[in-house]
Amino acid sequence: MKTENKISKKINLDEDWEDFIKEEGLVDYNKIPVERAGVKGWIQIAFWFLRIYILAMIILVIIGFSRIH
Amino acid sequence: MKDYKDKLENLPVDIKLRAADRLKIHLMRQKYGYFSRLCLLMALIGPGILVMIADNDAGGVMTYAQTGSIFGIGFFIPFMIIMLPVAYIVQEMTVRLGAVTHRGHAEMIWKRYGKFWGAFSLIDLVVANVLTLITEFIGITLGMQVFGIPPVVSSIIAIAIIASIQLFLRYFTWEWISLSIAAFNLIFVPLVFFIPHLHWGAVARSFISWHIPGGVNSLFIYVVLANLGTTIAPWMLFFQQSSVVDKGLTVKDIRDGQIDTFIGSFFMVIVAIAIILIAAGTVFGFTHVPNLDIQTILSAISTKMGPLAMRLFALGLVEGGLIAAIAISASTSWAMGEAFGWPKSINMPPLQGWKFYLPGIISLLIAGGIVLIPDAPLGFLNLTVQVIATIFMPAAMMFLLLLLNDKEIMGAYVNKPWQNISAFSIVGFLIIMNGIYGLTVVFPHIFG
Repeated sequence: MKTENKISKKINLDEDWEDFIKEEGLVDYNKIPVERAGVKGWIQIAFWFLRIYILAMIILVIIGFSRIH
Repeated sequence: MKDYKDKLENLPVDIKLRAADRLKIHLMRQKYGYFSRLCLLMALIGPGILVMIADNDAGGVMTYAQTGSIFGIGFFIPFMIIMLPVAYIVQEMTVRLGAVTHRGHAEMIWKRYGKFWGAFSLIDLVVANVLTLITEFIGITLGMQVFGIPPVVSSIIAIAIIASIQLFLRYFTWEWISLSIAAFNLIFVPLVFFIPHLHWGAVARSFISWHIPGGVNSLFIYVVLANLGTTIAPWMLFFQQSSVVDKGLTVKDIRDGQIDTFIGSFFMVIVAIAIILIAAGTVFGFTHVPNLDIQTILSAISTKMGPLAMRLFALGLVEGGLIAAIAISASTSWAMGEAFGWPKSINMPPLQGWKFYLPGIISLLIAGGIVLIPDAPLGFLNLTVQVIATIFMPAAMMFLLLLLNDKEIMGAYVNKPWQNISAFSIVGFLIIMNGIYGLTVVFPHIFG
């Protein structure tokens, strides 16, 4: 029977502690390394686009600020 | 076997406090019924509402007020409705990324794409955050002046409140105190009903006409960009993801995180529309000054709606600055902690987590101090904020999209095709609009 505030499944954290910690991600992630992503294909193109975009914007900013002063 | 409470005590302090919060969520999830479900949602909401309300910051309030004053309701009411899905689509991705990886945006860029892009993003974020904080302090000091409080006093009080909230509260309390402050953002909504001669029929017609008074010119493009820049900003991506991680959301909580983000987007747009309506109803058509400052708008509100309405509007301005300063200083601390691998949680006690808290506190002191310097070039600083955000937003969005399409880290939670189409369309639109904005900075009269 589904009733309000009824605990449907008895949980025993003494037994399920490791599962709880794992499921909830309660670990120090600073100690877990993250692998570098492979930059190839469309990702490489995206990075080149970003470089060009930043360069163009920096040039526009320099021109803009030089006109202010 | 040791009791689980002993095991809890053995965890590092920040993880221990998060584990205690997550334990409550874990137990709530075992219960059935609509009320239990609602309780679970209430426990899980926070980052989405906070980021969206903080987005209606002092700069945002000023932008919306100027928008309504200059253009009325014709174009920008329906435009703001469109901003709801835009803000939701962008911020929802940070919920999934945070819940799946348990790492912040700065950390993911740094570790996944290397130190160069990591440092680029971090420096941009920190500089933009400090400059944005200055605009928040401008709002706080201006708003408090209405109540006769001098800028020195209001700036010091604001720094003390924000630093105390961050230093001495654990995440759960920090979030609820921040949400309580954020609730004052709704102060603008009831003010709408006191606008003299507001015709709701005209508001409804704006959705059909999309009328632009004066047509498309450089001022109109500038205001569109200012509203777009106010709706989605780089610090928001970093803030919400870090907040999701610090709160401890997992993949099971993504649905609630999405609801949280939607609720936040909804209230953000409602408040933005309310401010535009107030300014449109009190200032639009009554003056021909193109660059209306906030004092002029406050004075017009006082004349048309009475001094009480003006004081409530000023209070909203102060609240906008305060909640955004809380969020932005936290985002600076989180990003620095993530990039350099420091312990990074608001759950950290001040002495143990001093390295984490220091960048946020320093940024507050710099911003709160600069705003008090007589004749400080605040207009120039405001322009610099926009320029940095202009350069940085597409870059931050690109990293977000790369990460959300990275099957190695996201697994089954990668972007679906419709999410990619929507997000790439937003990035494309942003790049085009930012490019146009860049051109208007260099050639101010390019659009007449």
